[in-house]
Amino acid sequence: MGVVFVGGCVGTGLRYACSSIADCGTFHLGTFTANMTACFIYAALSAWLGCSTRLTGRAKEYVNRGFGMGMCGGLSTMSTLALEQFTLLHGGDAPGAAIYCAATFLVGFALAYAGSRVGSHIANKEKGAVR
Amino acid sequence: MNAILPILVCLCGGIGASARYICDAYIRTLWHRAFPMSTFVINVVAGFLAGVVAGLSMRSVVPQASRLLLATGFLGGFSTFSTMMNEAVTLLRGGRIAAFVGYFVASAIVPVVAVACGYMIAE
Repeated sequence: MGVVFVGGCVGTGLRYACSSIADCGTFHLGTFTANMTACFIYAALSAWLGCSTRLTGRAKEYVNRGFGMGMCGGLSTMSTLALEQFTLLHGGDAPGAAIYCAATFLVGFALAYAGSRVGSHIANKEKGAVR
Repeated sequence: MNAILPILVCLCGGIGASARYICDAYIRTLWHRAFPMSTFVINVVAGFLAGVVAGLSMRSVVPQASRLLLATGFLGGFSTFSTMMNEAVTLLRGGRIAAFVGYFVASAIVPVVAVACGYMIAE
C-alpha cells in the first residue's frame, strides 16, 4: 500500500504540472495529455508484466502497484474529465463536450490498445532472447 | 503557501490512490463477473463527489485551495482513466465483446451523469 501511495503522489504531481498546459479553446489539453500518457504507459506495463518472466512474485506486484495503480492511476483522472465534460454541457457547449469526450475515449482506446500490443511484444522478444 | 499547496495536492493524490487500492480490493471480493465493476464504481463515486465539490465551490462554501486539494488531489488520484481503458482493451483482446462495449459506453456516460447529480444536489 505504501508503494501505491508514493506512486499516487508522483502521478498526481505530474497531472498537476500538466494542468498548467493552456486549454485549446474548449479542449482541456492538460487533462487530455495526462490521461493519454497514463493510458499508454499503464497498458504497456500491465501487458509486459502479464507476459514477462523478468520480474517475478513480489517485485512484479510492487512494480504493478507502484507504477501501474499508483503512478498511472494518479496521473490519469476520470473525475476531472467528467467534470470538464459536464461544465461544457452545463455552459451550453454540447459540440465541445462531444468532441472532447470522443477524442479522449477514442485516442485513449487506440493508445491503450497500442500500449498493450507493445508490452506483449517486448515480453515475447525477451522470451525469444532467453531461448 | 506557494510551495506547500502543490505538495499537499500530491499527498492528497497519494491518499486518493491508496483509497482506490483499498476499495478496488474490497469490491473485487464481492464481484466476480467479467464486467470490471470495481473501477466503474470508483469512477462513478469520484465523479459524483467532484460534482458536489464543484457545486459547493460555486456557492463559495469551499475555498479555492480546498477545492484544489479535494478535486485535483484526492478525487483525481482516486478516479482513474488509464485502468478503465486498460480493462476495456483487456476485455476486447480476450474476446468479451459485449462486456467491452457495455463497459466502454457506460464509462463514457455514467460518470458525467454522476457529476451532474452531485452538482445539482450541492447547488
